[in-house]
Amino acid sequence: MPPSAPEPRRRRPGLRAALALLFLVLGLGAAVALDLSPAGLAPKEGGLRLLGEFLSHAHAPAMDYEAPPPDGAPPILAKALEAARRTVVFAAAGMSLALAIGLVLGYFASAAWWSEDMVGGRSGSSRSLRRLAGPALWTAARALVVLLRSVHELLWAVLFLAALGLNSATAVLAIALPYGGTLAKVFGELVDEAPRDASNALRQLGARGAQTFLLGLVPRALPDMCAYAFYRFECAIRSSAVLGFFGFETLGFAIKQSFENLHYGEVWLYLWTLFALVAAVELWSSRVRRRFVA
Amino acid sequence: MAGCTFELRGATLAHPGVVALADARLAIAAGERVALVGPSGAGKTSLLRLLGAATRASAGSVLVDGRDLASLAPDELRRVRARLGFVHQDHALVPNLRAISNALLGRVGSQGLLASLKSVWWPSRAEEEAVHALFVRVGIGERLYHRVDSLSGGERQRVAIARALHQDPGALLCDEPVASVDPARARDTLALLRSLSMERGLTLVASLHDLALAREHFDRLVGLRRGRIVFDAPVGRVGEADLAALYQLDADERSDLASVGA
Repeated sequence: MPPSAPEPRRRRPGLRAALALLFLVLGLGAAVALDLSPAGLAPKEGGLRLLGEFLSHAHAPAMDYEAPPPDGAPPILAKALEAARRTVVFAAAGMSLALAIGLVLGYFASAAWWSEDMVGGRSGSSRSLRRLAGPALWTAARALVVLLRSVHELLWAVLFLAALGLNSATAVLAIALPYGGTLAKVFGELVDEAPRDASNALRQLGARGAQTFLLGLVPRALPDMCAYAFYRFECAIRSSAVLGFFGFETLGFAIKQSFENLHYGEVWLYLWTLFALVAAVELWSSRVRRRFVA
Repeated sequence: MAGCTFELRGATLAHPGVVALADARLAIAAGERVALVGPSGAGKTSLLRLLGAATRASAGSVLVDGRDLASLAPDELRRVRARLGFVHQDHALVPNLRAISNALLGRVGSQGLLASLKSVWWPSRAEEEAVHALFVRVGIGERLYHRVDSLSGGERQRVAIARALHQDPGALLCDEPVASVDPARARDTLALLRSLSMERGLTLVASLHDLALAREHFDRLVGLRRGRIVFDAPVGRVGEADLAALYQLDADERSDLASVGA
């Protein structure tokens, strides 16, 4: 008797509809809870005029100060470029520290590092120590990563402003901590997902645990790790600019000052500078990324 | 250094629900060239993995150079592995490293951590020359500085062989070295393995599908079927009947096929 065909896998068309309905209900529920009403979208007194005036300056950024600057102020273009430079410097400093944090924590937070495959110490006692200490260290590393990541860079900035005051270290730490946590999480996952064929082969030819990890597994994850680090550098530039609202002299600081003085032409000059900066980094990093990932 | 010797004493390799290799008895002398032949799933790869100290026998014992692998401390086991050049079917190279770096990885088993990192990223002149000589020997001398992912399948296999040779091994264990190449290249590859074995005194064990190729390039055939060794003899003494029995379908396999056709 020919064997009967296997039962086809049942699809559940109801599931997707139910999920869509669930999100709809959640959305409506949130709107009710927040007391949202369409009236909130109506502009307040004079708001439309203000918005129109602001937007009307977009095509004509100021090429000079709109009010007499204090004595000894540089030309406005020089000021914009200097603010852009500071934005990049804060981002780069924060990112370098974040990379160091991410590489060290990511190493401990990767499950592969603690897996049986990589436990290949010199002696039986060092192996059993690794086996005992492994789960504890891994859990601690994961917890630290979650802690660093769950606090936004602006909140870190508030904390460090209170603790350290308005200095460069505050801004650098505010970027480095959450970014370091995110890099650690992603680096750890990339290493865990990297193909194991080469690392198994190294183990097979007598490599120790650390050699198997560093020479067989990490190189396979490295292109993706580099690509991700460049993407985060773009994000760090935006974060660095926004930190200017706290008084660090990045583009955000200049934008805030001019906006408060209603100098919209100046605001647009700084905004265009920021656009150009982000676009330039994006262009550069996408080139480098193509080279790594290709 | 002399070639490695191997011995299986009733070695069994069982995975949950499957016995991949049952009660295998086999002795391979230094410098012998042995082909493992048999249909897919016969246990050829399991046998190679046992010989290569890649996995522990579930029962029985595996001896390499006369030492029972089960009795070795982890560090001693590593040293045994470092003497066994294993050429994997999928080559198991790091595709985004250069060919030379991959070959240099062959020596990590006998290096410390820092030395191995240095030789992969900043190889010395002597190391570069040693690997270049190996690449010339296996026929890809001009590919030294190419990234592995830019090489053809055949070239990758040569890099894998060069990595195994850089181990300065006592044996080459090759899993299906010609499974995915055309007949002309298959002949080339096996001729290369044979001549390497002869000039360096290496013990050579390879799993193969193709009986004609196995008879042409090896001295001894070990036939496997359903996890058991069904014959083990010098090439000249393996008869057509042995080979036919190896690939003959069982009654129940036949009926499966018949029902598919029906």
